[in-house]
Amino acid sequence: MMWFFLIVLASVVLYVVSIYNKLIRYRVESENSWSQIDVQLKRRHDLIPNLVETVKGYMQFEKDTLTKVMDARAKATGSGDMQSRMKAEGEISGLLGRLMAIWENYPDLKANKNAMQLQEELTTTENRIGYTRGHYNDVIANYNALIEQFPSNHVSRMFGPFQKKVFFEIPEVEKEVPKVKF
Amino acid sequence: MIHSLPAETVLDAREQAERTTRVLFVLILIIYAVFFNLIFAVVLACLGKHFFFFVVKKFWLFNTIATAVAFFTGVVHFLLARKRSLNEILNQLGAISSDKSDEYHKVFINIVHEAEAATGIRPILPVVIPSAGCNAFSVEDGFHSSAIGVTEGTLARLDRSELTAVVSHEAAHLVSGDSRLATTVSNILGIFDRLRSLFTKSKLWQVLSRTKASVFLILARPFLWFLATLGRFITNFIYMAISRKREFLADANAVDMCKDPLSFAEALYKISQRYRGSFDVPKGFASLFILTPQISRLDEERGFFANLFSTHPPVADRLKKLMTWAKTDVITIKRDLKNVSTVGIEKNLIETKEESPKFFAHIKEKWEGPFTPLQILALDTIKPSTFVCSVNDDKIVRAGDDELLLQLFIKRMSSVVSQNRCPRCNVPLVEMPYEGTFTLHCNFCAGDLLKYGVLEKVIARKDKGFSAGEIENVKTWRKLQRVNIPVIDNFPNIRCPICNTQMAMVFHSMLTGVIIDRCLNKNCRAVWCAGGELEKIQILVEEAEKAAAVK
Repeated sequence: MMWFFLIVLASVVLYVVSIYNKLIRYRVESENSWSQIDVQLKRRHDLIPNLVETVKGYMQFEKDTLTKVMDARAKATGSGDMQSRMKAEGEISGLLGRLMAIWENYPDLKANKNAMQLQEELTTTENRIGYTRGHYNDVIANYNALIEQFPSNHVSRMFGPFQKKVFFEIPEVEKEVPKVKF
Repeated sequence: MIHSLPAETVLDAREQAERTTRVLFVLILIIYAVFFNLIFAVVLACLGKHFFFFVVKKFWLFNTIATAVAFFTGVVHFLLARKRSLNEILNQLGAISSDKSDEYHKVFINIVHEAEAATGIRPILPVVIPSAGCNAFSVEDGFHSSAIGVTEGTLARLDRSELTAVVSHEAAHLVSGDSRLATTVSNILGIFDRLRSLFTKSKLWQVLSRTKASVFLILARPFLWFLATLGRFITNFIYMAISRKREFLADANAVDMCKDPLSFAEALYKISQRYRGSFDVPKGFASLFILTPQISRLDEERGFFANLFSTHPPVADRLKKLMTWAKTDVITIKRDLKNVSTVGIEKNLIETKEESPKFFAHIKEKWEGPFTPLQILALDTIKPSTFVCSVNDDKIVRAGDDELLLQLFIKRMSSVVSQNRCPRCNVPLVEMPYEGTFTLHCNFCAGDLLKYGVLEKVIARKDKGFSAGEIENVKTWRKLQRVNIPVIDNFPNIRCPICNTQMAMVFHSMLTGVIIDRCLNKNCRAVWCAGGELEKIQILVEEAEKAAAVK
């Protein structure tokens, strides 16, 4: 009987340890994934002022969008809170997506080499943000599920400050299809 | 953006590739077993009659030894074929690393990095074949090192979305293990080819045929040659039987990855217009490419034989499938591409050449010149402290005090002026941006030094427009040249400014008839074009392309 209890106890301890290690692994992985996103976001922040400066002469009818992009960038770089930063970053993604879509309507802009290089840089940065965002959200989904599921939720509560993390979601602006007038 | 493929699709494709690899392995073992038993018999025959009859008595023992040796050699052959390094294969294909400072290459590098993120294969090396023709390929060696390559022509003619679709196709081959299988097959074929040549022209064979066993050898030789040929044929046969299906599968996976069948259809159409005969591909490597670079009638044929003996399905069939997914047809694609290409060429025609001011410079107690600002940039004897006098206002100032010249000195400091000197004028060459890449330009004789691969880039790209007058002048020059064939020996040979090797004067091609200087050093292969020659080549090639398009 004694042996039976010892085996059960050892199994429980092993289970708790494995859950704890899993939580730690997901947390580290999510932090690493976010740092990769952060590199790309910083790259985007550096590109935006140059982009606005280059295209503002051509896109007379999009001045409002360009101002919004700069405002969102200021919000994203200025905010310390993760949630508001992600919201601002999402806003930038949406606005840039719109700018890229209407780029084709400006043939003069297509002839400007500097603008084309910036477009290429932004396109590839956006794509990279897309990949890293996908990976980050996958990790966060697993991590959050582990925190909420029974019985791992008890382990997370007992052994440390494991808090649910926010998804880097595709904002509503980005989902909007830009209206192109002919 | 390139998306990841579903895990089940990847697993299925990989399993099929592995199955084919196993079949090839067994085949090689069987061929080697027959081959070694025969060789063994011939060697014993050489040793003499008595020894031969002794062996016949103990047939099974010697047969087992020969088979064991054969299996060992077969395994080594197979491992060697699998373990051939990426660099070796890329060297054979003539591919070079892509250049980050080149605008066109930069886009390609970015897309390949996106493919890395989507497929999880890291790193994928982006490489380029310096050829004006269009094609693309992917390679994976036995050490799991991968590369995706395109030709300069592909980079120049495809836009970003089309290039993304092509890279997706190649990435799909890498993910499904096709590239590794193709590399293994090409290496196996190469070894069989070497064996075949051993039985036709080897000196060792001639020596052996003078021995006592010449009768056996005469009988065995064609049989051994036939065996190597049979091995090659069966390997090729097995591979080709699946290769066509794999191309279709890679097309479907590419559409799944890039989500843009229209761009892929346009890319394939563009490549299909100029993919053949533009560069040499060693035997067995044709299957690595998106469209076979070798000329074969069977490739565009349908039916039983075509299915068995060609590596790629007909382009028309592939386009048909893609166009069904893209909900379009060839006429629409042709019309769209025509509109885009004319816009591209015309946009740069409005170019104005401003007359630049000239200066006399006080060098070594003498007034020399007049020099244009670009010539001053190249002349290292003119420093900011040198006195200069503008032709327009006769005012003598120090060169550093002139605003225009000051900018040039700043430019000179940022290493725009290269270490290499003009082979004709002996002044430093200046790095000049041209067609999205760089040439080393002489500001005195207007000659250009092009490093290996740059000439092909310039020919393939059409960013620079030419006026009607320029085109007419070059056409007239060509007509006159056809009448008065130039004598090459009129010019002294020059040495390469990069490696100091002798340069040879060669015709660029029969089409252009322009004489250029090519470095004879195999590791350098730089090209020197005298003033205006580069533009002549570009104009004549572009005009020939236009004429071909009209036909």
